[in-house]
Amino acid sequence: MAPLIPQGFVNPDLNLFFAFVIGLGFGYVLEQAGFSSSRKLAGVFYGYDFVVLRVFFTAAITAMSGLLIFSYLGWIDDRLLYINPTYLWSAIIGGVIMGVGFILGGFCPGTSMVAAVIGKIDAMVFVAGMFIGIFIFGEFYEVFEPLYMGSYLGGIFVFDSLGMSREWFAMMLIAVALMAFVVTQYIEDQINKVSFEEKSSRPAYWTPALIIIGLGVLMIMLPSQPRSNWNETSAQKLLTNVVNGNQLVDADEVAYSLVNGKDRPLRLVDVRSPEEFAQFSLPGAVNIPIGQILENQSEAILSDKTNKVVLYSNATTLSSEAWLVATRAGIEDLYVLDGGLNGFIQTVFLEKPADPAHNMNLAYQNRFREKARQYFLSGQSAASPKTLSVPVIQTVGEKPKAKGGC
Amino acid sequence: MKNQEVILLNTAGVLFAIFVAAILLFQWAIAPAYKENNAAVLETIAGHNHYIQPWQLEELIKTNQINSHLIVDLRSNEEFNRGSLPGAVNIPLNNLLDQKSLKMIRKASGDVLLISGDESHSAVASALLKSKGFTNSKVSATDYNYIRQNVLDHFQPASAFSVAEKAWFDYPRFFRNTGSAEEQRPSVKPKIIQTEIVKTKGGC
Repeated sequence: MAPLIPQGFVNPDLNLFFAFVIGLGFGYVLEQAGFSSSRKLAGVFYGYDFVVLRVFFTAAITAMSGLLIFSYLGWIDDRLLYINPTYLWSAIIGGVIMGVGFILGGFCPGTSMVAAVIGKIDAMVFVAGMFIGIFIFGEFYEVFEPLYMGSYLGGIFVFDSLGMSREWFAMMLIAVALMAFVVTQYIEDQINKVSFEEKSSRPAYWTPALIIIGLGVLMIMLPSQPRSNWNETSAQKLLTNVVNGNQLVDADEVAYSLVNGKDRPLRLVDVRSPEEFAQFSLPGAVNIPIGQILENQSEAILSDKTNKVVLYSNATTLSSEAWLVATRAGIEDLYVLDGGLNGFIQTVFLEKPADPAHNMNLAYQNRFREKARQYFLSGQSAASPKTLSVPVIQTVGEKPKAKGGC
Repeated sequence: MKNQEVILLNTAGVLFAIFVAAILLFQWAIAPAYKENNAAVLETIAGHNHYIQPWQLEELIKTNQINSHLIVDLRSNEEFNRGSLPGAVNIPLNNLLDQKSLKMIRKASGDVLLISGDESHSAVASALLKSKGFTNSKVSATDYNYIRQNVLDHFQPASAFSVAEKAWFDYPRFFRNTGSAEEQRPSVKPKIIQTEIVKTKGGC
């Protein structure tokens, strides 16, 4: 139920419920379009009724345009879309089997369900046959396995193989679909010997055709910004934050987090190189070298909503640059350790304790810093940061076995 | 289909298409106006090539090439008036993205050298300028005070190299780590959940 689930409008546990509702709608649509009639379905092979092909193409270009447009709008995250991997020979042979079954039986799996539900006996027999076939495949899987898993080409795209961009391929497919509509209509008329009067009383489909072509053209014309550009923070906002120093946290706050880990743990991120990180790092810090700060894994760590994320480096320069790039990309609530490690050591260890004569806060600060010093020197601070939650990235696993289908 | 039905459907279709197109164009219009994408800016930063070291500054001043570059002082007006580099222009960091400032920067031939009281300010300013499409900015690797003391007043070759992002202390001296480094740092590798999307192709 993207986009509603990523944006938080819909509870992901309702997935199955929505699947059920969508299934209801789908069955209804198929039935009212007449797809429970095997004669209508088989017409695509004999040429007298191409409705199946037209429905297929319409669905394809609608879904394709929808995905492209929604991904531009940022309503879906196209990194989460699962692409069925291509197993070449099993796809070809499976297609042949399905085609033969389609002509023989007059149904494909989805429509056979529709017809069986309304009581057609031949559809029920077809469904039974389907289950028997599935059972045989499961029982004798070892025999079929080499074919099933062979010739794996990965999740390849047609437009990649052809060397064109996604949008141009979409436009091409729209053009092909529209041509197919015209051609199949012509063939139908020839085979059914449709009279001229009937033909001219048909409504013209110019408007929908122009609409879909227009959307395709719009897709091509829009500058190909990846979706993430619309989430970027504006330059002025970045500048204001830097000028006001809103993103800085001071050494005392970090020291406090290291000393009293459970209370307000900070997620410390070291943006220096791995060598410098290996030489020394603050206890519990994670290393994200600045060159990798825009990667997906880094984004998972930086978008940690439960803890405050503080970037640090030796001074403030590198961490500020890292902060700028990450905040521009849309990550919020990032902070920078003011003064960096140099400043940290300076403040906590080397600064002369201020004269607390008139200021209780200064007295507290002195006492805290002394405690922090002892803590760090004795190595106790290493114990605390285990309380931080581990960030979780959801990736889409490849599970090629579950190919259900029509 | 009867004619009225057709007309109704067509109008609905057209309205929907206009709606979608409007949203798309609106999104495109309100996107922050960056000329350079984030990855390119990051590449410049990670290359560490955009700093200008004190000794390079000194050389520019000595060989009188300093005038072919635009020196931008990002400090506030008062600080600038108290003293700055010869030939420097004052653009307080706050006003960096104003039309006037950008025009000045655009007109500059040669590089734009950014100097500030805090190196991180110049670094951020350079990154922002790069995002806006100005590729010619260089960050002074030291702050103004350092330059004042060590470059302008009396050049000290020993301290001629960047102090930005240098470790001033031997950190392990202050944080004693008992045990090996691996033990100390609980590895916070993000836990990757493989969500198995079982894709069933329904349909006809």
